[in-house]
Amino acid sequence: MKLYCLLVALIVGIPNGSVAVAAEGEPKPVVLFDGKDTTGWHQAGPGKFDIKDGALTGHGGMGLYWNEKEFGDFILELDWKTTDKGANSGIFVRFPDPKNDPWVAVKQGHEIQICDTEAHYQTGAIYSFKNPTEIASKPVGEWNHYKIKVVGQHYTIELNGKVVNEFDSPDRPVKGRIGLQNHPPTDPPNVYFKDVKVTELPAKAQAASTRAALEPVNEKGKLEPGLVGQYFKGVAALDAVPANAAPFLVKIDKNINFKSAEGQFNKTKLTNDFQARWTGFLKVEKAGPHTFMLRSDDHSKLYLNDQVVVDNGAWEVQKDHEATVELKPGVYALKVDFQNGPGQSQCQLHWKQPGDSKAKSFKDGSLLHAKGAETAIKWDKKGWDEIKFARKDSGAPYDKMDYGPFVQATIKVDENNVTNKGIAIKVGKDHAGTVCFDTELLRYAGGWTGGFLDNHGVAFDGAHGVNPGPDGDVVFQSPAIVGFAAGIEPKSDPRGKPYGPLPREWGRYKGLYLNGDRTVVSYTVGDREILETPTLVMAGESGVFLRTIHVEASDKPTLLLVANEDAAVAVLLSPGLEQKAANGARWAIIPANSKAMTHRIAVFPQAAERFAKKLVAQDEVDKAPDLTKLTQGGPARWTKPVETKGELGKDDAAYTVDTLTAPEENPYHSWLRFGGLDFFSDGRAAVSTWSGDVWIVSGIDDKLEHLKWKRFATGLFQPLGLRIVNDQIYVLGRDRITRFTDSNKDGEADFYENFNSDCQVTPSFHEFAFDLQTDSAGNFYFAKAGPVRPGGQGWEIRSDHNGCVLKVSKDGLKFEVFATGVRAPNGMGIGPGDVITVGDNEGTWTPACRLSIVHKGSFLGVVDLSKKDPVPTAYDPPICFLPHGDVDNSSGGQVWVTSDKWGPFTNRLLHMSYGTCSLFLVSYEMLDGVPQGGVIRFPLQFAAGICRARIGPKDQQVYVAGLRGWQTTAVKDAALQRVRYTGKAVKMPSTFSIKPKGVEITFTTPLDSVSAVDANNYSVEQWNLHWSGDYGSAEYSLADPKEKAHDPVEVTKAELSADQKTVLLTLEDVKPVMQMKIQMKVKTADGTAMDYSIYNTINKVPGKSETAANEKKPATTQAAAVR
Amino acid sequence: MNAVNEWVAKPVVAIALLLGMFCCGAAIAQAQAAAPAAAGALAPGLKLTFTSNGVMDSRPARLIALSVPANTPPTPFLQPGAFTATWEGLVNLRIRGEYTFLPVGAGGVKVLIGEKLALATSGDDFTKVKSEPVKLTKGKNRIRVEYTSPERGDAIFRLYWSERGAAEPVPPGVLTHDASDAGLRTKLTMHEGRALFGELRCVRCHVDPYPGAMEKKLEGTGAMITPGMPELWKDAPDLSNAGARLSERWMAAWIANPRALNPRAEMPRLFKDPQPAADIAAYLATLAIPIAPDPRDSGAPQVVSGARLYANLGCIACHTPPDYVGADPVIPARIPHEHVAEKYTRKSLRSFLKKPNANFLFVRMPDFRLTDAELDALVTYLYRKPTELLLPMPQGDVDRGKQLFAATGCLNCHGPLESQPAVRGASLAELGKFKALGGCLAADPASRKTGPDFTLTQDQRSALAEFVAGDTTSLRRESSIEFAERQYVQLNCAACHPRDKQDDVWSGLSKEIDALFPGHASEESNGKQFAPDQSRPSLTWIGEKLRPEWMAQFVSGHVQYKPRPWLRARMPGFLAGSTNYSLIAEGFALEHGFPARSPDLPKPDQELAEVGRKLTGKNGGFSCVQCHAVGAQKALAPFEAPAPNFAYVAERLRPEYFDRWMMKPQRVLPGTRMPDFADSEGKTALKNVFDGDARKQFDSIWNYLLEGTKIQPPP
Repeated sequence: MKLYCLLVALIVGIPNGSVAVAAEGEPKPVVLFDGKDTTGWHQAGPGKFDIKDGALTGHGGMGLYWNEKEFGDFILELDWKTTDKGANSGIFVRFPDPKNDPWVAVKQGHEIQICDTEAHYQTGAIYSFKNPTEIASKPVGEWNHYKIKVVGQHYTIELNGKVVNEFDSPDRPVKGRIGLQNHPPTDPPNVYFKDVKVTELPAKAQAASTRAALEPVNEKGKLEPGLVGQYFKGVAALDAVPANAAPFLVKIDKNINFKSAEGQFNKTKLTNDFQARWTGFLKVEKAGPHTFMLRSDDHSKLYLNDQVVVDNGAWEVQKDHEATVELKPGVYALKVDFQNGPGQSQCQLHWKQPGDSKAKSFKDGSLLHAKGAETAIKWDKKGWDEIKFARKDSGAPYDKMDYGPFVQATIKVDENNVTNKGIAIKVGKDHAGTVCFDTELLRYAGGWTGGFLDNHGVAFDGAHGVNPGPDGDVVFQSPAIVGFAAGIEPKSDPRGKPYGPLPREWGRYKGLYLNGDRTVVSYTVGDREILETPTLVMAGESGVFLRTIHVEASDKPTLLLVANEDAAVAVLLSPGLEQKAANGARWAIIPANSKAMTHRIAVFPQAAERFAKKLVAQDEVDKAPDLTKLTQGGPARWTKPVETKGELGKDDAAYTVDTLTAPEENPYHSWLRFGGLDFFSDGRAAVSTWSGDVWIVSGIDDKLEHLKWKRFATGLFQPLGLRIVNDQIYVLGRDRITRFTDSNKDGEADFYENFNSDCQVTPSFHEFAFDLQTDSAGNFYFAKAGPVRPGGQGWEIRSDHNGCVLKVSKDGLKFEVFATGVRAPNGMGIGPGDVITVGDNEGTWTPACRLSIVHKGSFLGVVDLSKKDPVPTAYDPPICFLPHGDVDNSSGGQVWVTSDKWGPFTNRLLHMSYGTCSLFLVSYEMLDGVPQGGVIRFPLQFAAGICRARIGPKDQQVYVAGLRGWQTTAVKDAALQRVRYTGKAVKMPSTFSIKPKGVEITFTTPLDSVSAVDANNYSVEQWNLHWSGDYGSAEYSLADPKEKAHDPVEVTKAELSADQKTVLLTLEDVKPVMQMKIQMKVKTADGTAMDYSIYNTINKVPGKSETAANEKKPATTQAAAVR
Repeated sequence: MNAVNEWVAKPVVAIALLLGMFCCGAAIAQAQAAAPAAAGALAPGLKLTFTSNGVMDSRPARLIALSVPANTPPTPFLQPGAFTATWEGLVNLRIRGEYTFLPVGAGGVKVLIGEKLALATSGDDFTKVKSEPVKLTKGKNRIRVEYTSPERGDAIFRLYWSERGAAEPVPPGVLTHDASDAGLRTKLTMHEGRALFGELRCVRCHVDPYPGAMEKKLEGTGAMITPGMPELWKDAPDLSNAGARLSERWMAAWIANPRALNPRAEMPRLFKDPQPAADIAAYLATLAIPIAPDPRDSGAPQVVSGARLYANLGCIACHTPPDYVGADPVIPARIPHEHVAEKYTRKSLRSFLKKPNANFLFVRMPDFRLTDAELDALVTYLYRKPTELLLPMPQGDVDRGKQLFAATGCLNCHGPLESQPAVRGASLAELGKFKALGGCLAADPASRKTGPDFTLTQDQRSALAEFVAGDTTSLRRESSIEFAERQYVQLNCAACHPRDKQDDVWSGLSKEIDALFPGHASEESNGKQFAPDQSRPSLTWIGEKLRPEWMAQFVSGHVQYKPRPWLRARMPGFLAGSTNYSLIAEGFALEHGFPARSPDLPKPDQELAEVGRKLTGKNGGFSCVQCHAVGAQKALAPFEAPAPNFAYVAERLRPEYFDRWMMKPQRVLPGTRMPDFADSEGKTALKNVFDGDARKQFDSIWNYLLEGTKIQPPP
């Protein structure tokens, strides 16, 4: 302990030498900031802190600069000064780890205010709780000294030697972090902090939870590391395991540290209703109080010497309990029981040994078991081995599907080895194993034998919050670092965060070639072109992973990452290559050479060494195929097109829906869910599927009797956008835009070219990349969803690109963020004049679904994804919002009717609903550059959540494609349908326009002059929404914004135009409003009854300056805390 | 804006009016709401007038529906037997429409819109009538519905209408009536007086001439009710061990002025001076080993989990937290918790929370089935207030207190129900004769003399006076519709549940909850798997929706599972110690025009059930399993909209409601996450099953759901 303090003192330095190392047992100050070192400090939220003249000063905002050390009772001392009378800042104490959210400190900790001029709370205040007795701060520019003492819930604030505040806190945490605020306006910086130090005081309140001392047990046998884990199936409640039940699985677990996750728990194949029991011993080294922290989902109990120490058994109460026990050095019997019901599972045990300020996990040697204890337990090991390696037989579509030779995805080899843009490539005879190639770091993240992917994830088994990982035994891994270099020294990752591409000139993934079973990846390192193909050769039980690498000539050597430093794994290189150890990994150096060469690298378990040697011998390398010859396409794989018969709509109306029956049954069990659609010039269509395929549909004619479906490509990363340019297919996956080449013209792609992969991808399950459109200049656009948390609220990792509309130049070389602030924008449209539209889904900062026009730089409403500093307080007003009950809970894309063969709607915008499987006519107008409009639903039903549409090049009709994920009324997993104009008269409202005193509605047909002018036949109501960080919004009255109600709007007059097609409704009042519903029950001149509703938004009233409520400040739920 | 819209925009006031006039059972709670309505003011619902044997009674009704079991009176002021019921008021529409009225039931029925006869039929089965559509205009339409019960047997009547697509009961949201109607006001005064008479336990002192009423034996531990007003058997807290539960200091303050500590107190103030209160408290404290409040510690970690529970279980919807400062924005005012630590010991508080009805069967506090850990957390939280707030009281004298306790009639209420009152007030017959506002009904302390002070409003005093001069035999009769409505107010259902256009109290308290439990908002958004909507079910259609047998079990806390397991809220058990809870369920059923008992669940048609199973699945179905759990199978991807388990649907829901719900959920519960699968033509997008006929498809699903807990998920 003493040593530790000395070290702290040495590392951080002690200013002025004023505090000597104190005697054991006395409080010792910890210097958090000494003028130079900001180790342990982090910025949460907007802005940042810099060091200026030895002091910390923040700008931007509002954010929090916090220190990761946690304190219970303490004295915090620091100096601060302001350079501006109105400067505003504060010191936060006792808040939990804020991650990236400064509001955690506001809401959960306390702020000691710095601001002499603030209206409610001034310097010395406990912000929003208690004002100081006096303002004791010195004049602007002079240094002040704060001494903040916090004991239990009692706060004493001393400023420049005067106690200015004594405060007893209500229920706030009794421990936590310390942080400084950067509160705007902070430009130029106007508050400075220095000499930040904390003296931790001995805790007082913990005695209550300390238990009676326990005595060590007398354990004589040999102890080995790890606990014996027993896993029981079908256990519905904690402690409900029958006494004589045999476990389903027994294994040694080094630690109990399983973070919250969905699906399989700790590689046990168990997900729900199971119990884990860990038994063994705890080795204690120091005498004194030991605190055990047990966190679980669902229930758990910790026993020491058969006594319950921590009980997480009560549901609905915080499942995160701790207890302190007095222990002596020695060994104690330890048992943890853990039960998981439905849903995610988690079980973590940490401890604090005497003197620890933070809870830690157990280091090796603390958790032990009696040697052989695991073998004494009876269980069905043979059965387990069968299950473990069994081919998937769940019958589920994601297990049945043949995904092709590889699958691109975010692949989690393990917790610390996530490949954001990975390719899982099947290798070996009979697909004996898999390797995962990382297309960003150009490394093999790992290799495993016994299976492919565990099919876990949103596009597979539907699980939220997870990504697929190995389904087999991982043989090797490599660290998630830059896996290559031109030269012989590893390069460090320049990106700051582990997303997005590395500099192109360093190296770049170019694409992959398919040739028979073989996948050949193509990339550059520096100026060197490289092709390589992974294979696996089994030597008995052990697999040798082999890389065959073709390098073009280069005058620089090339460094390639091979594998971790792992004693169980061996690496062999073919002659001429040199091995290197660096950064905890093993590397291969390919020398500079003047001609193309082929090399081999083998990675394998020690046992297969003899065999591996053979494989990398020069003879073998010479015999390796010429990889350049594999780039021109090999034999076709999916040779048999599937034929289906379409179904023509029978409706006796102007529009009817024809179905291009999808080949749900197909030889590859490919799970079809359409996410991209476009046409070739010859009338054939191409669709992409969420599970990774591209199919080409031919035979699209009037009758649809002989539709042919041919599988064209596979293994793409959730491709939800497809565009055909010059008859070449471009597909947007989450990882990249891929351009396809079919070199040998066999109807299948042989080259999956990386057209552009600049878009950052994080492991968030919800980061869908939607749609692919082009403007008249040939630039590509797509929309990327926000990293929504599992459950729909809030966000996971925010990158530079999630929640944006993104643009890629025609040649694929330039990538830019075009617009920001979208949440789940499942579809776009680009129309005449390059009008760009995007839909969005209700959720956080999206009070209801909305349809927006996008310009470069647009901010579309999701504050957390604005990528703007300062955070915007207004968003681009949308064309309209759409209420989730009546209209849509989940928007699709848009299409412009560029056809003149589709009834009276030429050059009109159509919008789709994924959630309610419906199609809308959009009417909008531009008023001083601000759009406003609304939608009218076509009375048509679609079989899936339609979200993509194109105009068929031959028949000029509207084709829609869609899928069923979740939250949709879809009855089919996939639908490709045609909305056909039958030539009959269209009888519906067509356009409408907001007038100073009402609304003008034009119909496609003349109206009956009696019913049209009867105001009784119209109903208008309106309501507002709250733009906030909540999930969606209730519907609020305009008249009384606190009431959840719709306001009726009196229709005082209805007038009909001379041509009887246009009605002018005079309304009692016309105001900007977020949502209006105009219902009409009128008759056409020929007596047909019509009942339609328009759902629209008014952003501006012609001739009035008032703007919509939605353009004002965000109605944040944190309003109370905002200064 | 017209008058109709005014009440639409101001539901709080409107509902208060409705409660004040009809649900006068909450007279004490609702004192401020009982003001007479301004002339021409509109209130929700219709005026419903009953006539039987030349006697007439009126009250408002939310619905055009009614069920009166044989041999029970349609209202307490009428005798059982044949009757007519007439609903009058306005149907308010936002757009004109053509509606077909569709009656269900037996007897005779006539529907008039304005002067126009929209429907007239009679017989054993109204559904046989073929009715023609009627034009209703935008805005107000006068409606009059006359229903004549059958001569004998159960009277059942529900009025549905349909515009396009499926029929629905005429929704309460479109109905209004003239709240100032003189005939209605007169009758409501009687209802209110009667309710107050029961609620305030008047019968405990003014017992004559009703020896019969008090002779009824009690059934087991529960009060036995029928026939007669259940509140007549309302007990009061048993004080035989008061000293072990309540602090002397608190008892003294309470007796001195109950409503100063709890605005909803039913106990009257008996003394003007503090001394006798202190004396009685001193005596009560000797009734067990006297206790003193425990010391408090404010830093315990359980305070946080207690605050969390206080928010998550909805304590905050009925109570203000111990450290609450300022005026309570909620109407009626919540019961404050500021004195909890001065009232109880930790142990006695824990016992009370664990079994709230241990000493008081009619206690309003329900049983939340709290676990030990929850009890610990809540007790720690409630008990931590560091300051003493009760005003100092004089030293009490035990002997004097004992005497006073007997002489003041405390045992009239606090003694055993079977016992004769120790202190008698005037008999009911005498009270009726006086009609003067003396004694307990006097406005000022001087005329009240020794009468207890119930702090009644002028209207409440006159209502009581009118009632005791009127038909007090009505105490021997009851309509469970009215009882259920009184309990709706008494038990504060609206604290947690929305109904009609009225939001629940709880959902309006998010700011308070944020302050109470600062991590609350982030806890919600950090929800791991789901962050589903936490609102509680609406009670608008409750009597049509739930089978009364199941509802009774659920209301009393006897259902072992949580129908909505994702809710942090928990339905507690109400009136758990009494048998009255079944009357609440019965009352809601009758209000919606359904019999008090529902038929036993039929066996599913296996063939249809198989079709239904497939229809709920992902392959060839609506993929219901995405959001709904099926027995042991979890919902596949519920995201923010988890939904009830299929295994429990059939035992909970009436088939009539299920049908209506499935055909158009957005119409039944606007804004629900349950999507509409049927279009306005009654077709679904699944054309290959029953030709897309939604009703047939949903009927198959119902048959599948009838498998109940044996249900197997679709393939």
